[in-house]
Amino acid sequence: MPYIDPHIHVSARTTDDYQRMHAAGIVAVVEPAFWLGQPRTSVGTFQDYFSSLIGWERFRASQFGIRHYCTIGLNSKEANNERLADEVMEILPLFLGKDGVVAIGEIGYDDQSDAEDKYFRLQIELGKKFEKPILVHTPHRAKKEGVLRSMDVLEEHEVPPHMAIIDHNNEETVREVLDRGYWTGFTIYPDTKMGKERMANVVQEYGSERIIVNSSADWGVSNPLSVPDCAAVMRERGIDEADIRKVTYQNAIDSYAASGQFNPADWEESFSFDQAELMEGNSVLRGQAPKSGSS
Amino acid sequence: MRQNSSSVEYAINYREIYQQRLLESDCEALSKSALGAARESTRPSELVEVWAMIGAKCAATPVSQELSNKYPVYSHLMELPLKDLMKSMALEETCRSWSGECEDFVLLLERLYQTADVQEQQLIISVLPLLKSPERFLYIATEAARTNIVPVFSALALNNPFPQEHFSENQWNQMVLKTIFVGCNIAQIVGLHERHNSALSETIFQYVRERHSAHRSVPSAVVELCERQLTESCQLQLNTIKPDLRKE
Ligand SMILES: [Zn+2]
Repeated sequence: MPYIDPHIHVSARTTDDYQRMHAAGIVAVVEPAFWLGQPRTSVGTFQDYFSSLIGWERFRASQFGIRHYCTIGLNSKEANNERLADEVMEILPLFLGKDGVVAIGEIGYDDQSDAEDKYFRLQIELGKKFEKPILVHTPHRAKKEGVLRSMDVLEEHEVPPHMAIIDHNNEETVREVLDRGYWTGFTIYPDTKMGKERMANVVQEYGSERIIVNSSADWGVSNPLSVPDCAAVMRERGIDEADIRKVTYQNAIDSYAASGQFNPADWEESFSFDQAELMEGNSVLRGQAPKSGSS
Repeated sequence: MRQNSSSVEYAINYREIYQQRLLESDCEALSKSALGAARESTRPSELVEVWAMIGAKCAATPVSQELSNKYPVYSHLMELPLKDLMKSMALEETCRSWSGECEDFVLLLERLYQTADVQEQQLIISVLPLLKSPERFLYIATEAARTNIVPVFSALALNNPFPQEHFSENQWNQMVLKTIFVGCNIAQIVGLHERHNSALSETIFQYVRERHSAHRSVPSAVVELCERQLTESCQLQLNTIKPDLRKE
């Protein structure tokens, strides 16, 4: 069964991860632009980061039979450096209209500061201009308040709910987000926060409509196989295959499809990979035995 | 004159192929308005907007068998999505109607290249030979020769007359070596024989020896190229390993 991880920071992961992801059935990933664990200090490093999301990382993923898409945006943490944030806002339009950019994001609140609010709103408007879905990061502290405030702001800016994904939900926020009509993302973490068992409970209680599972794996303790692992737990629980498919594959497609850039045909038919065609000296394979396959 | 003919020929065929692929699509009106907007563009952001419009509106159109058969040497231009060809022609349009400082267009194109995705970098490299005074874009071509992204490297090294005409001997030799390393077909390098030199033969000979020691195979075309200008002593050494060299 094919899976999509609609939120994973694969730039921070190793080639072993890519191989395991491919073996576990992950056919496509979305890498949202985020921060790198410490704040950047110049616009050039943002530009190079965005370029790598549409360039090198896209190619790197393809070498392992995985289609790579991304979202482009100024994250909430770094929105707090206003001088830099203005410069970043200026270069976002260079990237938002590119092929394979499926949303503006991840944007939203972290500390819920005034600066975060300002750039959240500016980017919502930018997303509307580019007709892109909006991927909303919700804060880990004061979660519920942050989720409600994010949705209020989206409504103020008249974003139709099917054009926004509210991410990193938990049992406390799921009801309200679903009721207000948004795509509802859940991040499966290895230890704390939301886990696989709890995710299965959520699907049993709320069904599969508009619910999306992701790993948000990055440079921290995280699991790039969260999506297939979670599907396995749901299967053990006896959750219907059709529901599992929705929350681990189909809803990801439907939520990002509004961008016009997320098309299953990209990985279903035309995408077969042959690592033998790739470099030995200069690729990430570095002389390993090439493998062939198709995704 | 011999040096330039490949570029001239390339440009003529490139334009013809674009026109004929347009005819087979229903994107002629789109092309007209996109190229018109490109003519007015003076900043990277404006050209990026034109590209985004093309990306959103240009429908994928398969190439007819008839057209494919007509240009057997240019199959790579047939495989390029029409929208990418159109983006490249928009770029060429901006270049041709540029009325500002010459240097400013170079800066614009460099910025465009630095912020481009994989497909866009490929199309920029493919259209370089069509641009006025292409030697201005040597820096971009050199970046493409250095990249780890194979499709972008291939857009420069294979079926593209730019390196033959503008690369120094060292750049040329490095590019041919890298083509061998990444396992691309060297027969597709434009000017492979015209630009060949004894230093390159020597370096390829080192490579062949390394592969032999590692019990790995070598394409026969690579061995043939190696032998074109090999010193006598190297040729003698090559002869001793040739019988048990694994060919591809
Ligand atoms: Zn994230």
